[in-house]
Amino acid sequence: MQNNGRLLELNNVSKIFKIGGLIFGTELRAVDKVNLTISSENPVIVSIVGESGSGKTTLAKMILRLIEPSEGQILLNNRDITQLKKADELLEYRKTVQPIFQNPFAAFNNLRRVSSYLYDTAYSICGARSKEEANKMISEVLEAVGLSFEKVIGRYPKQFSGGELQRVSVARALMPRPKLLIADEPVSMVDASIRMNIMNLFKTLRDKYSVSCLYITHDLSTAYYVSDFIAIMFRGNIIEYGPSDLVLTKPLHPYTELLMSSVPRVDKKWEKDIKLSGIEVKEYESAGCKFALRCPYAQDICKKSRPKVVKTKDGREVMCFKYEGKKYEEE
Amino acid sequence: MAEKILEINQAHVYYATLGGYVRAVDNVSFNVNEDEIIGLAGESGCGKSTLIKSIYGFVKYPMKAISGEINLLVNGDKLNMLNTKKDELRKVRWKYISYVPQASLHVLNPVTRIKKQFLESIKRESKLREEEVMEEVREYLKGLGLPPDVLDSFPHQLSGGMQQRVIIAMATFLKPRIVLADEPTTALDVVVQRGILQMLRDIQKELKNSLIIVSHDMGVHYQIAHKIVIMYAGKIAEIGPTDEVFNNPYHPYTKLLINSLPRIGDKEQREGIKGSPPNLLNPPQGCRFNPRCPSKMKICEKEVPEMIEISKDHFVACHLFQKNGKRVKEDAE
Amino acid sequence: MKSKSKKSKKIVVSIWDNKRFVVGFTMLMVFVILGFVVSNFSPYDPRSWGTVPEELPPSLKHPLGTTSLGRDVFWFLAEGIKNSLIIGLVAAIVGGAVGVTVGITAGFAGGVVDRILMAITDTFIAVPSLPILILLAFLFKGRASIMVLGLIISIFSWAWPARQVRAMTLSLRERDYISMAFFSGEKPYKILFFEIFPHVVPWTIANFINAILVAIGQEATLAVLGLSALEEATLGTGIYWAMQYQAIFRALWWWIASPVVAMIILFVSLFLTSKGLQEHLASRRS
Repeated sequence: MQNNGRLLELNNVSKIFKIGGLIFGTELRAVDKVNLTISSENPVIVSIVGESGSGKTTLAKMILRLIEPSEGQILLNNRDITQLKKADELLEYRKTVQPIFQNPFAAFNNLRRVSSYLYDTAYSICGARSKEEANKMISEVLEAVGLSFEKVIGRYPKQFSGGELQRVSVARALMPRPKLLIADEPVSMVDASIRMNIMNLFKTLRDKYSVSCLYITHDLSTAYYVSDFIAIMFRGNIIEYGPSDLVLTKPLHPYTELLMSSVPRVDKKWEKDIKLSGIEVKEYESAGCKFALRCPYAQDICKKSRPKVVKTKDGREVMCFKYEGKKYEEE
Repeated sequence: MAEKILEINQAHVYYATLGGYVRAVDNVSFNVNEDEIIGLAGESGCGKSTLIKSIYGFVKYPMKAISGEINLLVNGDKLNMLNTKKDELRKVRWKYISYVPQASLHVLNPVTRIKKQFLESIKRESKLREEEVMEEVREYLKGLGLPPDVLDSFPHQLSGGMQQRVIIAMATFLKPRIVLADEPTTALDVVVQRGILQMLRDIQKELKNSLIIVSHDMGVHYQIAHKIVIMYAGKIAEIGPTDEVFNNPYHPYTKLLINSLPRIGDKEQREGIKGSPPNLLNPPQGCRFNPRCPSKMKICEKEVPEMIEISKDHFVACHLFQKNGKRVKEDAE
Repeated sequence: MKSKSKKSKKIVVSIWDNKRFVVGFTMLMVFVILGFVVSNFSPYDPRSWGTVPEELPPSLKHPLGTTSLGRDVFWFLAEGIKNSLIIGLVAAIVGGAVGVTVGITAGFAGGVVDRILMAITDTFIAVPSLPILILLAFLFKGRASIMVLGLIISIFSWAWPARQVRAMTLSLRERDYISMAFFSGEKPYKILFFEIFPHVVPWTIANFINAILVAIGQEATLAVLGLSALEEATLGTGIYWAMQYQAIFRALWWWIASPVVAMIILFVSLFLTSKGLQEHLASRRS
């Protein structure tokens, strides 16, 4: 595999859905010309944070090859993943990228023993040649996530709690020692008291096993806790990207500000009231900035044209007219 | 001096299943006063949802009220919601006590316009003619920041957040004394959540009634609840004023839970609680939390701790604290 | 993990608790026994006539009377039920097997394969079945055997299940556990067989019973037009012969009523069984 230092590269990736029928239907750009790079130098955790309709899940599905991008390229170690056809290419892909799904009980077929997935992965992806080898691989990863071999083998999904099953999911995904984990809302269906156990697992995977993770969520608090970098998505665009500290404690984009002020925190009470809009308008189709209708700082230009992505002096990227110009932009 | 409006006395509400009774609400007692917001907090399976349904009188097979009372105190009368026939319940629902279900449940009739559903929910209560009632409804909606033309829409034409706001408007129009909200913001976006919680809080302030809100999101309780009830495995672990419970939790479960919550701006390593919530078919003997409790003592495996008042209005059920509020020395295990 | 409490009330959620299913199934079993067991004891050959005195109303010796052709109605009916059920079974099995195979393949493979298979399927759905069936039956000039009749009817009974199963497969394919299987290295054919197919089975069973119902009805329609296997005894041919000999007008009500009523009751039993099964499966899922 060629490598120019980039593990994952999204170049102008878009996903366009046609809604409302063949003749009178309209285009919905669920993902709109997104650019994102994850370097292969050091393992990192990057969060993609967005609300419903932001396109974050669609983006995840494209990286996992569950749907095809309409425009743009997705490169994994410099190979376009939509061009992978041969069995050995697909195997290589699965050794590099592994998923964690939101609902642990939907991620396993409840008619199958959970360990069957572990054995499948051991034989088919990790190349185990005997049962002893497979058992060894399985024990290792189960130990890494804090589960005992005896407790897992032979059991069906219903015999686990949500948190335990999710940990089995992580163990299975870890087995081929992937370079990239795609975790789509991995803790949103897990109890609050157990959430941290799994979030800490992602940190362990990064530090001890050199696994990078793309953490997709709507929850800013866990995103802050675990990520190195955060990308905020709104209506298909990444409107702010940067180190997690900066993005959430000193937000630049007005939408990030709105998100931050709406999160029900456990350390600070809400200060001012917000106003919800009336019948929500289709923000996807607007000719200008998609957030302009709700933005407290909106100017004329915001309603007429789309802002470009601006690289700021403090190492962030933000898509907002407010930051164009010498004052904020990197020279 | 706030008056008591709801009295829960040793309520036991179970579910009948193939394997036995699931003890969803197992000896729960507490009171609700007028003009306060109570947060029912806890994780999945703690019984908070069952409890709030029982308060509304929603006890249908396989749910069964085994013993105890949930008394609604209205007009000097005591009405046991666990033990009242449907037509009696109908007299108090919407008028004295109303229920806002989870946002994801889509309780609005999809083939009827909102206006008609509004009228149906309030029809028996008003002596005025339909136009006058609708005029009042429109004024009420405007006051809540909702555009009056939602009345002419069908539910599917409104977003999830808007539907939920309409439901809240319907549930509060007759100015009930108690509003029950069961995970009202789950499945909604963060910004919409904020708007809805705000709406609930403003209505409560205006009507000076009682709001009981169920949520697994501790942040929700921190933001708007005056008092918080922490439930674990069908029992109450701790009750107290929200700020106090968050800043100075007594029960080991509350402590561990609150400490595990991530906070923006703070990258300090946090730990979750080991193990998982117990099976309510066959819960642990003694204190339900004992298998996971770092402060476990011998007595915790044998006896269920009683609820004691540890400081003003702050109650905890834990063997670490004796009846006089003094802390017990922990036995080395 | 589960404990039994002596004071607990057990809810046994079993198929036998569903009233519709129990009633329907019982009735169906009556028919099955009548058709497959009782009919073997018939003292008369179902294909011959003139074996008993003609046009006798119901009596102890002939519980449902006799026909103008000298046949005992009751034993004819018993044989007829058997043959109708066989036709229904053949059509349902063949139609079901073909339908499920086509549907799953199309849904899972997608792309060109899906389009070709669906084009064929849609043709069979859009083309009105009755005229074609009439044509085919005509070719056999009323001398088709029971098996052949079942096969002819199955030509049109596979298309709609194929569409349904394809739709189910499409939605099942999106499930997370399918992706999980793929990322665990499971080969596509194995995913199809072991992950998707088991979830299609419940629907298939309910549809199977429905298909029997439809097939029996179609045979009856063909029979009335004189296009069924007229030498055999089926519910349809029973009606045919009764009508040929003007049973209604000649007040030989037992002759025409027996197959008609039997068919109605059989339909109801199949319907109830199918509905009960669907309800039970739906309640199990929720």
